[in-house]
Amino acid sequence: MPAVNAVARMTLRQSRRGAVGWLAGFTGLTLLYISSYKSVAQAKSAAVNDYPESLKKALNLQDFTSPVGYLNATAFGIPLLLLTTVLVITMATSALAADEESGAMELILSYPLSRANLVLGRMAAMVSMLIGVAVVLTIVTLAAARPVGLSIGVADVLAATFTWLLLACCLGSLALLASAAFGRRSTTTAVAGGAAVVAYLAASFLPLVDGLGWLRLLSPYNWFIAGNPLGKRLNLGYVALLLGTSLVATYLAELVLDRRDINT
Amino acid sequence: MPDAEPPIRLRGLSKSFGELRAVDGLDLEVNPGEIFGFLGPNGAGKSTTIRMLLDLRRPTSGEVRILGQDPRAAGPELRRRIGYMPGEFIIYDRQSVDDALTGLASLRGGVPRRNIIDLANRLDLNLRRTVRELSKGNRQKVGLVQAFMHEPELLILDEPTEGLDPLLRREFGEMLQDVRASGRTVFLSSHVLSEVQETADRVGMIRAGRLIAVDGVETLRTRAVRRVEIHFNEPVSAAQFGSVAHLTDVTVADSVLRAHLTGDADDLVKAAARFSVHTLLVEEPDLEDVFLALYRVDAHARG
Repeated sequence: MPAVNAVARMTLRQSRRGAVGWLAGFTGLTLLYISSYKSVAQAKSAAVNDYPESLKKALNLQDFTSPVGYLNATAFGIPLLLLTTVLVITMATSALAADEESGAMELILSYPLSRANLVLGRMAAMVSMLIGVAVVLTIVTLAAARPVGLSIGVADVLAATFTWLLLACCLGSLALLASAAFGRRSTTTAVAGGAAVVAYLAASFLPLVDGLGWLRLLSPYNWFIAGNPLGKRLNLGYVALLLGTSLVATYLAELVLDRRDINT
Repeated sequence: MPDAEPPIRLRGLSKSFGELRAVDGLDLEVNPGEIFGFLGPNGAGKSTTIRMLLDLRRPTSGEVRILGQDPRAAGPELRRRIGYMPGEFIIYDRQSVDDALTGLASLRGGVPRRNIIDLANRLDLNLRRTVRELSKGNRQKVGLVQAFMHEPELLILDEPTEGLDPLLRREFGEMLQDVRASGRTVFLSSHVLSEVQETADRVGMIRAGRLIAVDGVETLRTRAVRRVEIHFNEPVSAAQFGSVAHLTDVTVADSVLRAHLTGDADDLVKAAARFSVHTLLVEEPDLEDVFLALYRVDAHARG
């Protein structure tokens, strides 16, 4: 599909400045946590030990001293999920809604490409960027772990970064769906951000409420966290859920954008 | 082989936004190889109509046929044959003009580099500048280059000369003549009548979403009210010109006749020839006047 390819390349070319910043951010976050493994793991686990068991479970802090437990609680924990969420919402918003609001989309859609081509091209650019982040996460984690005595297998890290990649694609495609549906920067950010908070709560605190345990099953964050790819490698069920949701949401974004007026 | 159908054909085209009827029952045909001027004040529905031609907005009712095809069904393959310049040319601006145009060309699957360079030279556009540094006029030039660069069969230009200086307007006019000479079609909108007067073959006038007139530029010109002033070498009276066809508001002072002429000048010339004429002044009609006259008529008819 040459049109999709052209859109994706154009999008990547135009976002290379931002990409460098994001890659540096992910690198910094990972380095920060891994390099402080020795000091933090002991200090924090002492502090965390007094937390109620349910809170530890909600925050994914049960086992702080083992390498896997430490990474799940830090470099692959809440800070990474937060940064990832902000990244994909930012990318998805500028992919469609920002262009529609500014009027740039009007020009692009007067060219010989369909609206589905545009959505796919934007999604492809986002996935390429996320693959870049996944590669950086893998390399930085492996390179930084050894010197501080954090022993973790290559296959475990690969399983974690691959599952992370699918999670990011899943969240990104859902944000892209919002971007395609609303066509306004502020609405897209608000709705996608709000949904992310709800989804995170559904994977962490809400299941603590009696009778709401099932909510966990609906949250993409849970599909990443509960599979524990760092400790247990790939969970094919969760992988399928993340991948399937990404595909369905991207397809729905195409449909939604194709069915309405472009409002500049 | 040329299309049997006109490049643009609109039948009962309407578009509503909630209660507002932005475009109201437009019937219009643009002929192959002509330059069609789409005139109307801001907010008349010009851009909304144009966006429906490109499938950016979908009609509430009515039919659009572009180069014989339905824009929605024909999709990308149809837009390959169209060049479009939006009313507001917005593009990612942290890139050079060259990168912007090359990027757009790649969305068309490539355009001969020669075309881009020739057009940029013609419009005096510096390809090395960054888009965000460009003035409104220079930005318009980028918009024009991207619309013309693939030599489309149909050019749809929304207020193309906005912000261009007079010299470039003339160059733009020549670019349009070249397009026409090669048998291709131009549909351009404007709210400035003098521009269209210079370039277009036919003009459609839109107001409040309705097409109020479609005519050749020449016909519209003859409909115009022209101010006439005749200096005679001998005394004349207003009564002697009372029955001259198309002549109104006749006044005579110091053997100078002043009047308004609406239409053919033949009768007036013959009437004046009975006397010795020193000077004859007929003001070139302004399309603005035609336009306003039509609007007034229309507004009156609607009550």
